[in-house]
Amino acid sequence: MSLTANSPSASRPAARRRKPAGLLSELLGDRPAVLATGFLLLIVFVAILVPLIVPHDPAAQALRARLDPPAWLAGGSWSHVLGTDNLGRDVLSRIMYGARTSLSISLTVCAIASTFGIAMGLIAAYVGGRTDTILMRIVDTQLSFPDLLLALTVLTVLGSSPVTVVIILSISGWMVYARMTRGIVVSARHEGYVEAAELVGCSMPRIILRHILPNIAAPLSTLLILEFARVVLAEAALSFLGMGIQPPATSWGLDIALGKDHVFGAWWLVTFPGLAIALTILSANVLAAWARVTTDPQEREKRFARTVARRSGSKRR
Amino acid sequence: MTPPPLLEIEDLVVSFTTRRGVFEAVRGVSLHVEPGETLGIVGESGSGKSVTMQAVMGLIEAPGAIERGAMRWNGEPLSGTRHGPRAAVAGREIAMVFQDAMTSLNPLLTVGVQITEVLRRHKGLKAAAASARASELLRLVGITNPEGRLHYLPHQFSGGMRQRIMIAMALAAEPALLIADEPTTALDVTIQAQIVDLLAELRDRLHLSVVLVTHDMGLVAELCDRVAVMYAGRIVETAPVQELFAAPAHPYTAGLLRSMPRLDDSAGRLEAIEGSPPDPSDLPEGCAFRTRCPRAQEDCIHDPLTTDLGSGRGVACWHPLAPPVAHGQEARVHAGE
Amino acid sequence: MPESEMAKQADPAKRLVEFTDVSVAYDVQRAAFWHRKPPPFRAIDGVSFQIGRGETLGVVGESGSGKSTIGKALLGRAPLATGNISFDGRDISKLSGAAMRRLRRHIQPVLQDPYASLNPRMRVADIIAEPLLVHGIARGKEAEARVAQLLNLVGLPSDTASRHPGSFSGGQRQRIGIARALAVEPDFIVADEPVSALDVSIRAQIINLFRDLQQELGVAYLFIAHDLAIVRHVSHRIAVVYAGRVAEIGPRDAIYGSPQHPYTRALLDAVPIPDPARRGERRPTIRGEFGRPGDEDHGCRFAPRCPLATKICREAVPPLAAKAPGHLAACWNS
Repeated sequence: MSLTANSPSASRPAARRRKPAGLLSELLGDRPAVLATGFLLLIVFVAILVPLIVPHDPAAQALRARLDPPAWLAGGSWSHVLGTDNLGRDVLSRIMYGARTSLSISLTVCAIASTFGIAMGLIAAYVGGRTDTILMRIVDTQLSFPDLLLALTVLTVLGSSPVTVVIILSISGWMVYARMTRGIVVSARHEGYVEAAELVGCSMPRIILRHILPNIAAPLSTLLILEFARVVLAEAALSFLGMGIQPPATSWGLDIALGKDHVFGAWWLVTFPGLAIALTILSANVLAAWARVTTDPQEREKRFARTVARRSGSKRR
Repeated sequence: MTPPPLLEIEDLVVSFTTRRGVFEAVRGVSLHVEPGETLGIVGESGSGKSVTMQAVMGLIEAPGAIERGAMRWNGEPLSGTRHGPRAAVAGREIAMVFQDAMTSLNPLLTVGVQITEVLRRHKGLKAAAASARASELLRLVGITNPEGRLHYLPHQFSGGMRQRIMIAMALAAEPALLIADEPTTALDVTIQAQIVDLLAELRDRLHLSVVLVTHDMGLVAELCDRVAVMYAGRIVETAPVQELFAAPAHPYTAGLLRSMPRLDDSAGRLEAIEGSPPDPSDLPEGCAFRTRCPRAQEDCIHDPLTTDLGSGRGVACWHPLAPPVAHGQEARVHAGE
Repeated sequence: MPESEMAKQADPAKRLVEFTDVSVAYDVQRAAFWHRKPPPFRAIDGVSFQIGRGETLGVVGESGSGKSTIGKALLGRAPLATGNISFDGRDISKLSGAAMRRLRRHIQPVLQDPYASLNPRMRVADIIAEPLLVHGIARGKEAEARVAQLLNLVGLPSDTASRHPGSFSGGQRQRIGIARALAVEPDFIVADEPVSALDVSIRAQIINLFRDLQQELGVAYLFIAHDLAIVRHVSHRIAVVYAGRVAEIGPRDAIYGSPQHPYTRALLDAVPIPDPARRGERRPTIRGEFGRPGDEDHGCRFAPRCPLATKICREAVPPLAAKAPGHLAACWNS
């Protein structure tokens, strides 16, 4: 599951209703959403193609070119566009590899946590009774526990590796999906068409798969984007604290940690990985907001009306 | 010189912008309400009857917008924005009662608080006077033990009682015009009858003008002096109530009257209007009713103008049922079918 | 309960549905954990009636009267406290989940809200074919052909099949819902306020459709409505329910022509007369609104609102007694 595949699936039901205004043209009409999508696509693109396009080996040290500033500053050179770190490693290349780390960890975590969480939510809603109560108590308990602290504790005990990081973040992330799924299923069971399906004689599995689960697509898309941002941040935090990705692998959080000693002399060491994190999270949030409105038919119409009003207003002037 | 009507709407156009295009929910409605008169606006969902009244109340919100048209109150223009007049007149001199009392009342505040709020804002009453007036209003709408009931929350009342409270709230500012939008639709039959009787009684006692927005011809027959029938955003027929029921001129009005299940005819097959109400974003060219109309001919593809039939009657149809001279006779034939 | 008299109404050989002293009770949540658990809420209480093959029983009552619960009980979606329901001579009140699903081949629903009762994500063809599929009657090409036939039957164009419900008006959607109900060729349809959510000009169409389909297919209906004017055009017999009990049941013309229960009269009086010349003729209706059933367990539940109520009405429950052949009313004063 990749990020770009999420947003179209969000509005699939609406699109099938043969609405003339296409999803793409609607996205293109919304400037922040376009920029956000563009940035996220860039990150995905870089993460996939990084071995082909990277200017330098991110681990290659060049003691002669230590702490070179970015190219546009005095002393910078175009061979290291964003400068170099204290070991002479190319900052841009490290950020590009860091994108790959962040993205692969975040997407894996989202896939695992959402699958498990949705399954748990379905079980809670459908079995009901005591199972429901117990599952939801677990969700509540876990949500009330600071997840970063939990992650740090476990990583300290188990030692850190990318696999452990993925497992830890998945364990701390499934609850929101479970809660959302349960809520949607419980309310969907009161929908007229679910009642109709039961009365017509449909079996329970068919009702769940055919009539109830499709309702999850829209809210799930928004939640996935937000959770993606949360995991990017969590991974960066763990790596920054030295409990996540370990050298010689790269990660945005790790880069910041390594650069923090030189923050006054070589600001670019923390600034550019920091910007990468911030922009990724900002983009994800903007896109999530857009997806939320797009999957709500009423909000979607209102936004459309506003866009039209703005356009006609600016034309008149 | 005749005095100006209480409320006058001229050529009102309200549009809605959707992703499927801009469509007009109200397409050039002109109507007037005289002092002391009860006007019924009849139509189906999507006919624009509620939107017209929301425009008067200044309740049109994006994606809706008032494109065109003048609204006058006692001859003075109801000035306002693209979304309707400002709250000066609407709310004080014009009050509105909605279909669903539960969603119109704040569930977290007692009805006393909600009524006194209106009294303080519009009548400038102080707390004690306001609550005395509030219980007076509740008594007016037939609620027993009003002083005690002021402290109840909306959910502690039954549906009929809540509708009475809505009416009391609407009357709090002593409006000259009460707009009742499907006031009985959500209620049980026996309660509907009670609310209808209450509305009639209050109107006569307080000399109110009333605009009754409804889909129910039975309600119109019981309450209204004059009727405007709306279809697809236009008024297709206006007439005094007696004449409308005796001799409907527009085929749609006639169809509505005939298709109504009633208690005083044979229990056989109903005479239905064929087809469905048109999609407001995809109206037929010319007369919007022509695709369902048994009298439609080729010239119906042109927009029908409203013909004045005299004695306050008007119809927007190229082939109306009752010729102005001999109205009554043809309608009898239809009623006997 | 005078069952011998009820039995006269439908010839046993033609009898399809029989309710015998059926009560439905729902558990009531206590207000707070230290409160005593309140007694179960009886949505319907001792309801008995029969419906013959190809017959329509109209059920009329106000919201909360239990009229919808009667339909739910028949569809196996209400917890029976007493009594039993038989369908085609078989007791269906204690069926297992699987047996209940098999029974759905014979009893199908038409629901009130045509906007909610069709899955917006499914094509109309899939909606109508779903019962065929789940009951193993037809699939693929065969199901497609059947869908085309059904669409034709309910008066919809054949290109409807490939579209989604979102593009249809309320009346058209209700036709789709009716086509779905008819797909498995049921003997019985429970129609719970099928026209209440529709526009006035459409109601008559749908009521006529119900009539025509019955003539063509011989299907029997339980037709639930809140208003006596609506059921008049579809029903053979009518049951008026008040606060969970049958107040009056009888042939259509008897109910309208000589109503025996004061509540039936009140319902008739409450229907507005669509003739301004006769304004003011409507007699004053009953006052007040009805309390929940279970609030008062002695006497007639209509007594607090009844203009005719006397002492006995508040003390003893009136039996459903025959006032004329096949015409029963539960009133001490009629």
